[in-house]
Amino acid sequence: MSAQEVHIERLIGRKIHDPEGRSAGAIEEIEAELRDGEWVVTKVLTGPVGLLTRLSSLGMGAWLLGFLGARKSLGGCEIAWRHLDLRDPNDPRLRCPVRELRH
Amino acid sequence: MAEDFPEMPENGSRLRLIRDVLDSQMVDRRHRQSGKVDGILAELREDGRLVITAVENGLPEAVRRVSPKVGDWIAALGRRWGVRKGEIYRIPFDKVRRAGIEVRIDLDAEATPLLAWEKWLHDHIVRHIPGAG
Amino acid sequence: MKPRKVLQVALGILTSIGGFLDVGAIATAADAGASFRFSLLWVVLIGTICVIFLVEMPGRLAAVSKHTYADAVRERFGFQFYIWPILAEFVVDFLVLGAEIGGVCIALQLLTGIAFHWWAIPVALAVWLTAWLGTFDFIENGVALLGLITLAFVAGGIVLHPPWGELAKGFIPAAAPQEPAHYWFTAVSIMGALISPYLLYFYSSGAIEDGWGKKDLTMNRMVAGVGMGFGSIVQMGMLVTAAMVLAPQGIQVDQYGQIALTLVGPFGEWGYYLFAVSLGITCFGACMEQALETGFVVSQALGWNWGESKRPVEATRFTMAYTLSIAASSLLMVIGIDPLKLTLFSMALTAVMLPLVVTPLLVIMNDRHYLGEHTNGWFTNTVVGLIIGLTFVMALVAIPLEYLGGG
Repeated sequence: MSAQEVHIERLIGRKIHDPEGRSAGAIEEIEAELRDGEWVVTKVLTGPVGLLTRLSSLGMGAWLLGFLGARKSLGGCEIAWRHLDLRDPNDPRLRCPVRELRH
Repeated sequence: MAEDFPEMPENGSRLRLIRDVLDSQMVDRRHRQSGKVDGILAELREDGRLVITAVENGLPEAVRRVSPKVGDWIAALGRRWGVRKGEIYRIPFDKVRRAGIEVRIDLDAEATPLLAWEKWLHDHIVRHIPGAG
Repeated sequence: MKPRKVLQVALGILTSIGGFLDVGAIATAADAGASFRFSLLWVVLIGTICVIFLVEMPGRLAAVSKHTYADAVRERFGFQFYIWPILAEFVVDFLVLGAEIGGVCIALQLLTGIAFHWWAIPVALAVWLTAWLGTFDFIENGVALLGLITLAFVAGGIVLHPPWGELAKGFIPAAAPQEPAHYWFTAVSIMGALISPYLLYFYSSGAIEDGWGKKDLTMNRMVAGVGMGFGSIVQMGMLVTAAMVLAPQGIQVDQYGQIALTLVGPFGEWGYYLFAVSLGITCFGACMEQALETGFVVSQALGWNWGESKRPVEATRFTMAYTLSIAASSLLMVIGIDPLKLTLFSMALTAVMLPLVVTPLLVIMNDRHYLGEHTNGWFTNTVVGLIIGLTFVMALVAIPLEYLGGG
């Protein structure tokens, strides 16, 4: 079976759902790690945390929320690659329930 | 490989693909601006790993991110009228290095479609106008 | 500071003064003075403070990171976001460049009596030739230094002996003395003329063209602060002369010929020619900046090589971009669209798109990947936040006010 091509840039904004249909947020950032000469995707960041990480504004976002008296958590998930099923890039799926992820 | 082309980082190094690669300015071996990274290609291997294989340059690819239909339409226009014939140029990821806020590519852009329009305009229009240098 | 540096700073300040006015600033200041005397001076002051910050920041960004504002917005926010301010910028650039070409055409009409639309193609050719053959230095310094002739408006304002007490009160924000819709529309138009998106793109590109580095950050601050500050005095001079000459006669500005009277008042017949020459030079300079800015923006959005200091053969896509821009915009004058109406309309449109253009500044100017230790401090961030808030308000009210009070 030949390898499936995935366009990384088309994943931005795609919502990830768990087996129970709950949303883990929209994909905002994708992290890769160099392993034996190949860059392998290791995690996906979703939601406001992901977006602010992408904009290098995590600190400012947290400060602004604190200033506005909002809740401490920014929202969004950090999803390890092993939890993700990307066989259909148009419909990324979690292999586990959202509640088991790190927020 | 150009003398000042960055070395491959150490095993275990991390890269934020959207922030640090996508939409970044590409600079070639001769330090010329060579377009933006309009797309990033990966392969979903049989062992389940998603491996980054190439970066892409081409306006249709960038526009597809906004509207797939309009991107396809621009690609069709390019195939008919464009100098690059609508081609999305792929650069293997082993020829790509992040350097500060730019992406360095281990290529001479002039030998690739990256500067096709630049050359066409030079050959067919600009150099014929007095004062163009 | 070394003598050479002092000279560079002085030149930067002078070119900021000489290049401050453009067709939008002239039209809006004249309308403001004619309709409301000194009441809108506070808007020019606030607008200038905004401009100082909005010019200093992209200059600092380019000097430290060697990337322009356009580069940074695409790189950080992505193509999906960036396409929208870029498309809006193309529309506004098209209209504003048309208005600036119109300003030069009107100046020539005032001097020769030949209708403005006949001048559209010769003016467009002159703008294009200057861009084609000139370097960035020549365009930025040469044309802008000629623009110092606009100090005539300051001189005119002083010669007319304005009531200084009433003038000073004009710097205090106040409610509309009459015609509130027209008053606030004029206020928004002044701001739209001052806080122009092209500033951010042009100044960061200019810093790259001039080869600025970290060592030039002080110069950047001085040119922004002092240059823009003194430049605004020229626009205030325009407003004051209009207040002293046009307002008492109840003249509502709907033609450039009426604005010429602002210098006839203090200087007699020579004032008419002085106005025409001032209008022509400032608008010509603005044409250059606007045309180049279109080239900068599209080149930087798509990652092309660019540079006015390069020969045309070295940056063909960039040169073709500004060439097409000049050609397209000149058609607006060829078909005879009223330059003054086009100016006021494009100022209102500029106000609508400002939030899209200015908001990314708050993110980018705090990004250490670009600025290292030179990111914004809390004070600058606060000012930028306020400016962004202001642009949102302007965007919301600009079009309704255009209908209610734009004439």
